[in-house]
Amino acid sequence: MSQREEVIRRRVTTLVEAVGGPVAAYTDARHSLVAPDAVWWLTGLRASGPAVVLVSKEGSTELFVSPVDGRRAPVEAVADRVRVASGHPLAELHSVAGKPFPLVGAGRLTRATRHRLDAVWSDVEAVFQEVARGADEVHLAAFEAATAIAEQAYGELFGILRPGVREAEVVAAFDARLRELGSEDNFLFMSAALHNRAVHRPTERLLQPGDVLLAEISPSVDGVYTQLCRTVVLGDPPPELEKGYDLLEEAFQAGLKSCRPGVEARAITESLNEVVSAAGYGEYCHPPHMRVRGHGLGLGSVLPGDLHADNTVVLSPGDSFVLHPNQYLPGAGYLLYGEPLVITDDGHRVVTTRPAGLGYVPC
Amino acid sequence: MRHGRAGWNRSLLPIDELEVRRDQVLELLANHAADAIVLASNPNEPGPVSWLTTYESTTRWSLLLLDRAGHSILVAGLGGGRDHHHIRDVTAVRDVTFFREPGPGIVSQLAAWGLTGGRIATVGFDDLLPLSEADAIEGTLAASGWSSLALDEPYAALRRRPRQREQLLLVQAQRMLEAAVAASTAEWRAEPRAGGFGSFVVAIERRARAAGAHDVRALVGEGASGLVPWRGERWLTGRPSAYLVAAEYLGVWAEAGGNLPGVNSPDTSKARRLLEDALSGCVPGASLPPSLGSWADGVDAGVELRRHGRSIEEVGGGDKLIAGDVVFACAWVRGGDELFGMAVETVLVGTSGTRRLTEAIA
Repeated sequence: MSQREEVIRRRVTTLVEAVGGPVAAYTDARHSLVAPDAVWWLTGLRASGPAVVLVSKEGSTELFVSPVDGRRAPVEAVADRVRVASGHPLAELHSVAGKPFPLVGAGRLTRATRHRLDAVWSDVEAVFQEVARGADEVHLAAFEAATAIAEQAYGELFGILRPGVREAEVVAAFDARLRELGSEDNFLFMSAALHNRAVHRPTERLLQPGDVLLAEISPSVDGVYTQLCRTVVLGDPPPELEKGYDLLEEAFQAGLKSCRPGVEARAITESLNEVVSAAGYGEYCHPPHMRVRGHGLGLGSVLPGDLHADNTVVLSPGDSFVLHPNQYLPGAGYLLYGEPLVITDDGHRVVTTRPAGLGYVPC
Repeated sequence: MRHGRAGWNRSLLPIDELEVRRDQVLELLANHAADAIVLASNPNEPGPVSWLTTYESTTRWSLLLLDRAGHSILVAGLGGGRDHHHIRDVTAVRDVTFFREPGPGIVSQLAAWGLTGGRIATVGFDDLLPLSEADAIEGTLAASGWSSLALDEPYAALRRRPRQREQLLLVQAQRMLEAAVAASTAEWRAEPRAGGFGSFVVAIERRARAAGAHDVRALVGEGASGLVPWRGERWLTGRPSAYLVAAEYLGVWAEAGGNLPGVNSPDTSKARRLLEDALSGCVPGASLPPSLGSWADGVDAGVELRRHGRSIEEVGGGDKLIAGDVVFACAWVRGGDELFGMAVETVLVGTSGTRRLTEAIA
């Protein structure tokens, strides 16, 4: 048995034990940074169409896929049986089993999907989020691989950044490079301005001397996304930009000190905000000047969730997330600074090998 | 996840075009005695909201609220409006908000417009919103004196057929994608890179995005798996032989594809003949047939015809073709060696037959 299969079998067993009986997991195959995929996590199959896996109380798995996955699923999936559904896989499971099951992935259901079912399926997403939480060997390897890709591509980005190039052209080339390096998907916001209000998808805008380029770089490997948040200035950085960036770096370091097991996630935000507030920018520690101070990254679970002042989730070893004090500051504008990390038994480990630092492109 | 630029090309899609669309929706509301409409979209299917606003959400669903007097507000973004400055910059929307609880927010907004109950139309609530959100919003509306009426099909009918001026958008998108394919094919033929098929697809994606695409998606045809979403070399389970790429620009989709450069499948010419036979039947008055065959079910040959433009998930529909419809056709033949023969075409239906879209409209 390969390590991948061994880990996946272990995941299945853990879920059955937590639910206390048979359980089904559903995906609509719309993978993204913000929508973890239970079927992928439980079978290793990245479905192209809707799919559902039924886990028996003994831990055997039966995977129902749509025809588009009919050929791949038996090859890629770790499952005891694969069925190609003639209709919607969830409806087929319901038809075969004749009864509803506790369901993971209920958040992906739409009314159209629900209409295919004639009974209410209980939602066990919260249980699943806890079960799938924490980086196992497979998750960690993917997280590190995705981070390595992001770092390499970011290093190469400086070769294409110059005044006169459109934001969208930079992103097209950058994203293509990430794909070449092995990223199967990429949540990428990249935009520039003299004074940014936020980071967003690229536009027609031409890069100009003095621009501050913001990049949220989030490639994925085996369904696991990472995220690097970077700020690059074209030309000499004005003093207020350097000052603002230094402040975010200081805030990041303060937040990092709270990244250890047993600490509530809100403590990270509080530590970070204290630094920003002490510099006189407390009012900018709230929307719309920022959103959150980081967020979980995972294929199965995104716990500990969004890092904000109300998050009482207690950190535990294996939690993987990005810590990013990204925010707007008067004078400097919106700035990005963030690194992916993993909570360890005695603290944390930043997964990137090089600290962010303010990037410069000579003009 | 959308992959491409955000923006609104006002020269190709002027504000008066959006006003025409809005007026059509207001007429729809009047015809159904509705006081307002809530349209829902998500990143995979931004069409219902973007058709009226040019707004395409990146990560989360969005809503457009429009009342019978023409007032409108876009519900979008996360975290209290951080992104609203940008949204206003690249879309035709001036009024943008974020409701932590959409149901009460909508009721409150309607009240601000002087509407405190009546009939409200919905679009996209069945398949584009999460079940919990759709139920919560309609539940709140019902509790506040609003009866709901799903207008998905009448709204889709408004969008289904591009008017003559809208056909220009389709042509622009098609030319943009075909230029990306042509340049990537030439590059690949000149110097096949070590990345193999991956480098070819990635090159198309890169060029289409650089040229303006708001989103690009690619499928690969390989022996073992049929035609599946492209996700990288290491996911291949067979020898890739065909590709299909789709690019969205200003709310319309273009598609291109065929056999990979260098793949000499004897089935390619068979697929071309199959395609031409199918297109010969695309005349005014004919109904689009359902897909003949299946991509992944062991079928050796097939052809798919669908009305084209607003969505890559559009289906034929029951209504008959008329002159001015744009149809996408894809034919494939799979021989014993597991290589695909594939041919695709996007055509404009004319009074006496079809012409390639990019040649039919100057």
